[in-house]
Amino acid sequence: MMWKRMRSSGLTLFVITLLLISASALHVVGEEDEAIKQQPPDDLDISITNLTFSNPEPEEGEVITISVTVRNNMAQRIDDLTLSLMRFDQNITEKEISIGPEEEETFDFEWEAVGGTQTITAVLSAEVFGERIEISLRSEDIDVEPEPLGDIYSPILAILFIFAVVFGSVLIPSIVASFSGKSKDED
Amino acid sequence: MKSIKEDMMEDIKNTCLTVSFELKRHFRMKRMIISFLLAIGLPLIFYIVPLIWASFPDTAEGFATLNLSFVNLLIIISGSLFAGDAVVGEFEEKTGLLLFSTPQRHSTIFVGKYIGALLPTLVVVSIYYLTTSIEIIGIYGVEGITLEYFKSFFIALVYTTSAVSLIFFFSSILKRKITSTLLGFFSLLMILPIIENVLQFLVEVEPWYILTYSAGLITNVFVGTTPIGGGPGGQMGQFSPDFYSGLTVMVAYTLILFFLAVFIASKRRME
Repeated sequence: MMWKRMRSSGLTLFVITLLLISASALHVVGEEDEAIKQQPPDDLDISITNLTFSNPEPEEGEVITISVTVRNNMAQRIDDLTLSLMRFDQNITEKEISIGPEEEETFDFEWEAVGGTQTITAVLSAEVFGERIEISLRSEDIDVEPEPLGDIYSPILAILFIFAVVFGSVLIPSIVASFSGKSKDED
Repeated sequence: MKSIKEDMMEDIKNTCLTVSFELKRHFRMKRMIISFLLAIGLPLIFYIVPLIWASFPDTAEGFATLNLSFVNLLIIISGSLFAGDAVVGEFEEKTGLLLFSTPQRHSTIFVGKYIGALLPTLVVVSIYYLTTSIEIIGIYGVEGITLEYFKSFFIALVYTTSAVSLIFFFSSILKRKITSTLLGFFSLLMILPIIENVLQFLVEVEPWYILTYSAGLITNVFVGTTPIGGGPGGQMGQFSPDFYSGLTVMVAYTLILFFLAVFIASKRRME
């Protein structure tokens, strides 16, 4: 009888222990799964592979297309990436992009060229697992032919007009005097 | 009584006589030599210094922009030299007692004096541009002389006329040669640029009506519509002068101040 009672309580203890072990094991596995999910990938392998212009020698005011190629070398999709184009420190334009696993995609931007030597930088930024990442690629210098300021004829006409008025002003008193009938001695 | 044609011919002859007298006076007072030497010497600095200690800018436009940013200074110096005492000198030194008693019309005397101050200043600016163009050809070849260079030259000539008009105006209203010359010199070199900068950077208003602001076009033509700022300091500004309104402002300054100066001087009497 005694032996029977001990055996049943032992069994109960064993079952409880078994249940506890299973539960804790399940909990650990769950934690591990969560840890895998939250941990950033060891190699965050996204890159900007190319930055090209539809016309490398545009004229000022010409709208050109800037193509930026982004490659995701990881086995998972990355969403909510911001791809922006910078000219010096100014943000020209930006767009939200997402890129699938092991994919390379080209994104086009329209830009109205500004005169002078320009350098465009493509910046890829995102918040990945609480960490801010920023990848950039700088273009080669491009020379944008500035729109000519004014024309040559206007300053020539301006100087001729000034000469005409200044030299012509010599004659104004004679003309006025002849109309008013006054002689020079009276002037 | 003379016919209108004879009257006009006499006025032209008298004006030419005044111009010739003024030019001889400037020559006698060595003003021409000084300003011509400056017109050759200043651009030579931009050639010799980089040749010995540094290197030339990559482009002819860059060299021209650097060199011509100082043509304003030469215009101000020559304008003050030639026009600073043009009218006031006659009143201060009492030489007007002899001059104004001649049968020549007073207006022709003052127009002649204005032309006598304007012509050498224009020649000085032309020498500066000629020296710079020789340097550009020497460094970058003939193709370095672009249409923009000629545009800049003609704008500089228009600016010269307005600067001379302003100094000539001061000469017609003030009583002393030194005051007129210094006021003309400092108004173009400092006073107007200060007002221009205050309006630009503190009030944030485009000072399109300020003469020195329009002078920025002399070098701005080399960089197209992209503003690089104007004035002797070459400071980066948030505004840049519009080509056509800038030219109009310069022409307006020239003609309004010229007519005002001639009118005031003609009405002025010896004390």
